[in-house]
Amino acid sequence: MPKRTDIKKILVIGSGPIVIGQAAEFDYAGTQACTSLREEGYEVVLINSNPATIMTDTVIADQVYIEPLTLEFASRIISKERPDAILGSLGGQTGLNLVVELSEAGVLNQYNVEILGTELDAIEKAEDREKFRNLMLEIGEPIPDSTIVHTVEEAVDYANQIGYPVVVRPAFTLGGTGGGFADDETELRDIAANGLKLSPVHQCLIEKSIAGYKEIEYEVMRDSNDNAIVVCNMENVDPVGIHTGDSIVVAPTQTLTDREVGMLRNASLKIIRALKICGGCNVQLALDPESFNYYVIEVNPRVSRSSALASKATGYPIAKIAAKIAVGLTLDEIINPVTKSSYACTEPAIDYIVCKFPRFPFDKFPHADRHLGTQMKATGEVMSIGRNFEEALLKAVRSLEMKTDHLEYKELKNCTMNELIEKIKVNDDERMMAIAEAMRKGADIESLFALTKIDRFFLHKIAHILSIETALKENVMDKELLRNAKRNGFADSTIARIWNCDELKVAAFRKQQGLIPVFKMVDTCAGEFVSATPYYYATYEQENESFRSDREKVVVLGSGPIRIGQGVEFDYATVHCVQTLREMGYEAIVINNNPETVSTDFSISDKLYFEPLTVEDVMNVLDLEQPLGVIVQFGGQTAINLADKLVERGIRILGTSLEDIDRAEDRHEFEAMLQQLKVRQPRGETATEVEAAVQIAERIGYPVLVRPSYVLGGRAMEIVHVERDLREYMATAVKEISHDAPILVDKYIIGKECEIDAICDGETVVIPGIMEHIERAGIHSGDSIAVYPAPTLSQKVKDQIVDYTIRIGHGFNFIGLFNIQFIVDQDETVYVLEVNPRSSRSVPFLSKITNIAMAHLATQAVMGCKLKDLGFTEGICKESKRTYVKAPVFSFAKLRSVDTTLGPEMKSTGEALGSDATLEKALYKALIASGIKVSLNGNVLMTVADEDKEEGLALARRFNEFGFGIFATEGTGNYLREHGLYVHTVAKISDEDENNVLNVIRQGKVSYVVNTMSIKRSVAQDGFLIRRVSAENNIPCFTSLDTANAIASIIEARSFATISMNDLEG
Amino acid sequence: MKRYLVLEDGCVFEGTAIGSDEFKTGELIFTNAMSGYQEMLTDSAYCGQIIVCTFPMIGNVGINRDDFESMIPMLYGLVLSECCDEGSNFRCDQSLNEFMKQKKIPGIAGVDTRAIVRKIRDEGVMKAGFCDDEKQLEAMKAELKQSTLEKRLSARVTTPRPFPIPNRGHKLVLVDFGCKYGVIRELSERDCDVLVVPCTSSIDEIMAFRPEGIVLSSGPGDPADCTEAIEMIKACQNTAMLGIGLGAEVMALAAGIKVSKMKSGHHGSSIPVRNHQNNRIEFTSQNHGYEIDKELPADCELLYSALNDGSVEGFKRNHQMGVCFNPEGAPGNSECSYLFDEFLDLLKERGIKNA
Repeated sequence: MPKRTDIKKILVIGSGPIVIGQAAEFDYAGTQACTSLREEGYEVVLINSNPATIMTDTVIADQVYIEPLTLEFASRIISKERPDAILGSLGGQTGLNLVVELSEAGVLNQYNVEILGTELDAIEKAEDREKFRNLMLEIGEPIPDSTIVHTVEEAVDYANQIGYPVVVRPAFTLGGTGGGFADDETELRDIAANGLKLSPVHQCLIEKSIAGYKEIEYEVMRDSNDNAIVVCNMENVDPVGIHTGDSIVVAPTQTLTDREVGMLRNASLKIIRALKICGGCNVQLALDPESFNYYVIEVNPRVSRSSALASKATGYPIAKIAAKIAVGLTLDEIINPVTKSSYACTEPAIDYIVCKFPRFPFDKFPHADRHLGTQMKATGEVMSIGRNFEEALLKAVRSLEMKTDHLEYKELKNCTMNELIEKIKVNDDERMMAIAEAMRKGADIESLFALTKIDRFFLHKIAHILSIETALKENVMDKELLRNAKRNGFADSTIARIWNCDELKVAAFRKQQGLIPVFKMVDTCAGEFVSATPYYYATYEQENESFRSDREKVVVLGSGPIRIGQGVEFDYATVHCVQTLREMGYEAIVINNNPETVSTDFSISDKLYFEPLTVEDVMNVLDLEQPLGVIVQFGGQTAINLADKLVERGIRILGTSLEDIDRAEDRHEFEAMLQQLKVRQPRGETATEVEAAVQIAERIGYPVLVRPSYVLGGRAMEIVHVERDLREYMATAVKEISHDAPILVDKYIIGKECEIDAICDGETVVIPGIMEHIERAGIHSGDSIAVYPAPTLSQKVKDQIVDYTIRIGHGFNFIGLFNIQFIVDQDETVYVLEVNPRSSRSVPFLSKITNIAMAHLATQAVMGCKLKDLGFTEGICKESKRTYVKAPVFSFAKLRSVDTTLGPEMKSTGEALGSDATLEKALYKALIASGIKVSLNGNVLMTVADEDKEEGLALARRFNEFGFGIFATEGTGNYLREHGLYVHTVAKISDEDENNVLNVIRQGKVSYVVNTMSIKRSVAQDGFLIRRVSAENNIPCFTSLDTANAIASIIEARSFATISMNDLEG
Repeated sequence: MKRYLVLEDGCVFEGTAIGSDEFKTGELIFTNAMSGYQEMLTDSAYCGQIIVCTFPMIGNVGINRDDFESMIPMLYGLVLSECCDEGSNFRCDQSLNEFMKQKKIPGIAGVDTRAIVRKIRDEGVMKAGFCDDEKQLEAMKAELKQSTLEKRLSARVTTPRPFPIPNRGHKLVLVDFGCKYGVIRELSERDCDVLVVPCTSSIDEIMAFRPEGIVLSSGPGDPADCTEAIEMIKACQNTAMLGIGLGAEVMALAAGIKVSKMKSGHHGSSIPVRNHQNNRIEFTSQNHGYEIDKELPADCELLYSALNDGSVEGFKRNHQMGVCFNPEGAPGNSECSYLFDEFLDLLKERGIKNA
């Protein structure tokens, strides 16, 4: 069917800020969708609150609204833009939910807006537990048996009926507290009795347990003519029980016979047809490893993380095709954009193995609950492509940047077998490494299978990798073994370690033997058709398919997996860099390994190499392509960290030189340079041992800020107030102190924090703007609310910042982007905290709000253009009249046991933008866009540290003025009461009182919690619980009085104060 | 142990020996099915052919006792990127390599299968053979150039004598050109009372059973070699017929339609075809190296065509229909197994008419 001509304007809903479970994959999907719709001639209006996305670039849609994804704002936009149709199935759960809300509120009806893609009815059928169950029963697809029971006897009866094992899930307990697996009646009686007691409604769900089943996913598509295809099937290495987002996943399935594949394919297609979805859909199934029994676990009636993975794994652009289907085109009339010689109604055939490995944030949250289960915890993922599983797995491992290039962690080397078994048993995130280590220590496949239910196929493959390892150990410099190791994905660096020699020596020996990788194409058809996709992966085979063109070319390194501190912002800059290079006529080549992002969409660059970002893998590409040079400044610390090794191998770094990068990153050179430039910085020194650190701290005076050099997102950074804490920090937080990686000890200055991003071409420094942080110094810039234009900085301070920036830009010979963090103390003295010789997290935000495409300009500067010739002059650009606020977004509810208190270590996963005419309005938008419930009345719970009591009192008074009730813990309460406030004192946690502090939060009696941490760490435990319970109950908890004051300002601006006449003075 | 795959054009690929060490010269073709190697290996339509699997890891689920498509595999070899030693599946009985040794199927692993596939794609299918002795390579190349591929392959794989698959439903004769068990499963599921006959059977031998309809199975080789069957079909214009794969091609020849060899053929488990009855796209399992001419005579109706290259995948002439794909799937999709129902419906209708 041809495309619809009765609709002209389409509203596309984005997915908002990045949180665990909903990340960059929706930038990829959304960008594709908008582009795809515009290709077909539709006018596209976009709403998304996430500024750090390519999707919200003004070139992607005809009208881009960076506004909160709420009913209130979406309705306004609909009323203003009057779209004919709305497309929400490409904006994740957020997008779908908003469409449902708009429909239920009658807005879509009122403005006559049609829902495209998946109909509301289908969404409900897929998401409503009961409706889903009914649909499955109707079409005869099996789902795990379950029922609700109120007594132990009912539970036992039901279990006897459906058979053990069963899962007990108590109703309305948080995070499944009190539930568990029961293998027999005795266990069931125990668990059910406990569960019923814990459930506030005395109810438990008894469900047939499918833990240990194989978890299989199907990515399917359907069009309005009922054509339906499987794009890709995938097998989770980890069986049912671990969220697929946290599982290692391979594509296609590896341990299924054709009959099983066919059976699950038919089930998936039946489901998408029954739901009448027009677009993409993800079906998750559980397959009994011992029979043909299977169950449908879940259906996502939209594009998802898995569909992004499937798109990158097969080359088939699901979101792009889904958008075309949504406007009426059918699969058999859309040309497959990969081959350009076949149709989109083709089930991709792949001739390689894809491995996805999740990236967890536990390097930043070592105290978090690391057990994997049904709640996703990974912040990002890597994908790798190989010609066998071993190769794909090892490529994925070294893409992770978890300080290992192989199936081994140094930390696990000294574990006993029992410790390893324990890690494996509890589904720890390091389990795959623990399995390998246990095998090294002699564990056999059968016992590991019994423990993990990971299919023997995968365990054999791990054993195979280890056998190669052993063979290598016994035969140093053996050519045939080297060949075998390379075919199975071993890195030169791994082999070098086994052979106890230098990586370069292995590389030289390898090349001498003619062992260089070839590049194969990802073409959706396993070579059956001639294909035009410039999408490649490396492998050790015979025929190379990637040829060097005679155009001038530049290689751009991506930023790898998304993690806290290095998010989608870096992908944004990478994509801009690539686009600019192409506009300038260069052949732009991308190397990256993140399947979620826009930069790994093969249509973005002239050539895409989907490879790990290690020096070996990058050099393989560079050896073939012989580019003019490599750009590292947009790929975050991942790319920057490769610079010196690339230079060592004779590669030219385009833009800021390696020496200048080092000058900014090496503490001593940095300090010397700032002194030479007469730029002020907090006093500080570096230490390589504990005693030296203590002496430095004494010399410059506490509090001090301590951190390892070369850090990412403030990892392991801490503010230390007394010597004892410093010693503790040195002993625990820092695992490896060495001369290569010393510890920085700086004077901690209390003051306002602000930052700039700037561009320098060697002659001119252009500063688009200064961003001021709401929270005072001490909270990581990535976790602070940033405001532009800076609301409280005087002209004198601004001038000083501009002057410093210009001096630094020239002094460090920056070519391209750089970022500087400043601190301004009470006397308006400006200090430079840190200089980053690269693109930063704030570049997309600042680019969008100042309308200066920074990465674009920086790329031009890197390639030799002069900013003056582009119409820029040195200094700061004119400030905008509108106020823009960037608010951090956290994923605390998903990471149990993580302390939500903000500090120098970054914790946020994403960001939202709010903009309006006044600061308060912009703040309001930013905060609600970030997911904070802004209540204009209610109660506020205060529990503040002694040193904050005075400020806390002022804050409490503000809240009290516009009618908020004040709840407080005893100490804080007494203080506030002494100063004339009426306070409800809540009981301590240790009191099992109905009104103890945790219950007050749980019962939703308070709208906000203000909790500041005491310097004395020992009393922190109660505070920790308060913060966790707030996070889990979605009650905003502010750990900085600055954030709380900002909220107060918003409430103030939006409500009326009531003050007694008696209190008026004078 | 080292083994070489030698191609007609002189190309040599070095790899590791798997399976048997008894070699025959065959026609090198490729399939892009990602699962179902056991079904492919035992599909008699691959007789005389050496299969390159585009999927690089084969053998993962071993071999089981259920998924055979014939008793004796007739293919001449298997070319793999990697052969998995440890089959892992609850039904796995033995490893692929063991099975290949047992059934005398030679093979090679560790070669760049994608390079070979691209070669066949661009240059067409070609002759190939295995060689274990490096010194014999030149002789092998020369021999390959001169050799001709065997003819009348279906006559080799067909049943030597008729045998019944007794049931109580429609009486059918199944002409065995190299029939897959899948077809028999589909017919038995529908309670058909089937007599399987050799593909060289005459019209009299077939009609003696007084079938309500005739099914022509898939099979290997050139349809033009099936001279007896072509004559038989010409003489049976009044009988309802369902031709599958080679069976459909033979039907086409009998109807005077040209059938020609394709460059690289259609081998795969999920090939999209357009159903011209409802204009929908269906996914089919295919294994054919010949195509039916697009210029169909006036009395023929186009039923199916391949979405990507437009080749004829199915036609109908009166009450006889032929499809080039395998509606029984195995390996791959059996989305089109409704064809068996349609065929039986046709028999029913005719039965009512004749009564």
